[in-house]
Amino acid sequence: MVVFVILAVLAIAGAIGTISFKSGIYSALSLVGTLLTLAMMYVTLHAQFLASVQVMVYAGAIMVLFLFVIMLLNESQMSGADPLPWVQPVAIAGGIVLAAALAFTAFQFKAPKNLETATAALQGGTPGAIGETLFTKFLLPFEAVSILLLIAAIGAVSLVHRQPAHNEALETTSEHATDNAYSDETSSNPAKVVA
Amino acid sequence: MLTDILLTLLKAVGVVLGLLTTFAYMTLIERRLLARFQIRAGPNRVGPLGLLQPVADAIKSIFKEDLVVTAADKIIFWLAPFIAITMALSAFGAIPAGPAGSLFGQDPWVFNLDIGLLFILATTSMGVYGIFLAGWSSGSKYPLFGGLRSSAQIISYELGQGLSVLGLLMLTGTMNLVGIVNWQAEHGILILFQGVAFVTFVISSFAETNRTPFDLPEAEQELVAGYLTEYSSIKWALFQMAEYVNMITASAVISTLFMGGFKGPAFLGETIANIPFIWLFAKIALWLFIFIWVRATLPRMRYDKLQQFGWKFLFPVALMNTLATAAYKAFLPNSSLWYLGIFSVLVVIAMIVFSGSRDWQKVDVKTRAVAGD
Amino acid sequence: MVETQYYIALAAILFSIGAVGFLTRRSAIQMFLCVELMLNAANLALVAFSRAWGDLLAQSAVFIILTLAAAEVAIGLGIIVAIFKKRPTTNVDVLSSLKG
Repeated sequence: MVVFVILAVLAIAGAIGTISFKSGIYSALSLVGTLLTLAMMYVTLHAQFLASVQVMVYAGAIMVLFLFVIMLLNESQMSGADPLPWVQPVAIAGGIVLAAALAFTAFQFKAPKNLETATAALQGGTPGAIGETLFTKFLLPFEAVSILLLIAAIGAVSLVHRQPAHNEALETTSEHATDNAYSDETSSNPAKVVA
Repeated sequence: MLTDILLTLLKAVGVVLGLLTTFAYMTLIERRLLARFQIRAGPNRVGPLGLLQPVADAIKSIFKEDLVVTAADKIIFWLAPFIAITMALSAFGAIPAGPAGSLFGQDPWVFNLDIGLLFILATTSMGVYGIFLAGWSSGSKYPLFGGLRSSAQIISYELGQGLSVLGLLMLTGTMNLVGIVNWQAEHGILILFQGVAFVTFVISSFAETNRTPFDLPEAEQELVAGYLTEYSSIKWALFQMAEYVNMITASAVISTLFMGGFKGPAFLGETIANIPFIWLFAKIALWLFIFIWVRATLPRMRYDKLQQFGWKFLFPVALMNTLATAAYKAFLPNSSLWYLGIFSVLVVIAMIVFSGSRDWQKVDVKTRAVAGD
Repeated sequence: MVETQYYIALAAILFSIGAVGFLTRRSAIQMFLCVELMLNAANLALVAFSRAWGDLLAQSAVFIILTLAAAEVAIGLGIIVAIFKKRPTTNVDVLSSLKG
C-alpha cells in the first residue's frame, strides 16, 4: 500500500504538471515522469512485459519523438488573449465531477475472484504468457494493428515529405541548414513537385 | 528478506564502484592505446606508466569552475547529467557475471529478471534523455544540434538493435540473460548461428553509445563538442562517465548474448569454464579494445549517410535475419543449427563483398524526411 | 496487496486530469500530450482489471493500445509539423481556417 500511495502521488503530480506547465518541454517531461511511475505500477500489478514495453516504447520512443518535435518547432509561448476564457473554470469543475463520479463507480467494483489466485494465473505477465494470448485470442487485432502501423508509417512519411517550396520555416530551426551546406545533391534538387 | 535487500544493495554498490574504476582506467587505456595507434607516447608522466593519470584527471575536473550559461534552463541543465549516469549505471545490474551461487554462495548479479534483455534495452533507451536534454537546456545552438542528432540517431539504431536480438530470442526461447547463457553452454555460442544479427547488433551498439564512426552528437569539427559544449567540471565528467559506462555495458551485452557470457570455452572442462567473473571480464576487455581500435581506425560518417545506413542497410538486414530464423524455426524444426550457421556466414561474406559498392550511400533527396536527418 | 478499486480510482483521476488539460490547453502539442495521458489512464485500468480477473486478455489489449498510440503519434506529429510549415504556430485557436 505504501508503494502504491507513493507511486500514485507521483503519477498525479506528473499529470498535473503535464497540463499546467506553460513550456512544452516541461509538460512533456512531466508526462515522462507519469509514464515511468505507471511502468513501476505495472510491475506491482504483475505485468512485467508491459512495464518494460511501456518504458521502451512510450518513454523511450514516443516521448522522445514529442520532445524532438517540440524542440524542432521551437515555438514561443501562446500569444494573444484566450478567445474562450470561460472554458478553463468549467473544464476544471467538470473534470472534478468526472473524476469523482468515475472514482465512485470504481469503488462499486466487486472483486470477481480471490486476488491471490487471480494474480497467480497471470504468471507475472512475462513475454511468453502475453505472447500466447496475443497470438491465439488476439491474432486478428494483432494483425490489424500491424497493418495500421504500416499505414501510419507511410502516412507520416508522406506528411513530412520534403516539398522544396514550403519549408523555409523549418529550415531555420532544423538541422537542414547545416546539412545542406555540404550535401551537394540537395542543391540540384530533382524537382519533386507536388502532383 | 532484509538480508536479501542488503545483499542486493551491497552488490549494486560493488557494481557501481567497479564500473567507475573501470571508467577511470578506461580513459587512461584509451589514451595510451590511441597514442600507440598513432605512434605517440600518450600520458606517461603521472605515476609509473601514467597510472595515476585518472586520479589527477578526477581532481582536476572536480575543482574546475562549474559554469552555467545564462541562457541555460537551470533545472534541466542540472538534471541531464544525472539522468545519463543513472541510466548507464542501472543497465549493468542485469548482467550475470557467473553461474548461480558462485559468488561466495551468492548469485553474481544484482537482479535476475525474466525480462532481463528488455530491461537493458529499456534503460539504454532512457539514456537518450540525458544527451537530448543536455543539448536543449544549454540554450545555445551547437548543443541543440548535438542533442537533436543524437536522439534521431539513437531512435533509428534502436530499431536495428531490437530486430537483431529477435532471431536470437526465437532460438533461445527466453529473455532471461542467465537462460541465454545456459542455452549457449548447451548448444554452442550464438555468434555461430546468428552471425548476421551479431554484425548488426555490434554496429548498432556503436551507434547507441555514440562512438566513432557514429559520434556525430559530439563531432568537434562541426559542433564544437555537441551537447557537451556548455558543460564543465563535474557535470562534464558525469557525461564522460555515462559514455564509458554505456560502452562497458554494451561490451557486456554483446559478450553475454553472442559469445557465451560468463561461461568459458567448453573444451577447457566444466570447472574452468564455470569460474565466475574472469571469462566475462576477458570478453568485456576484448570488446572495449575493439571499441578503441575502431575509434583509431575509422573516420566519422556524414550525418545523412549515417541515417541512410541505419534505415536502408542495417534495418533490412536485421529484418532479413529475423525472417530467416523464423523460417528455420517453422520449416526445419529439430534440424541442425548449423544450417543457420552456414546461412549467416554466407550473408556476412556477401555483406563484406558488397561493402565496396557505394550504391546505398547515394544521397536520395526525395526520401529525406524532416526527422530523418 | 492493493485492491483493484484503488487502481481504478487512480486511473479515473488521471483520465480526468487529461480531459481537463485537453480542454484548457491551446497548443496542439500539449493537447496531444493530454490525449496520451488519457490513453495511459485507460491502460492502467485495463492492467488492474487484468489482475482482478487473473486473465491476460486485458494485458494483450494494452499491448495493442501501445502500438496504436505509436501509430497515432507518428501521424499526429506529422500533421502538426505539416501545419507548422504552412503557418508557424501550433495554437489551435489560430488554426481555424477550416471553420465554415
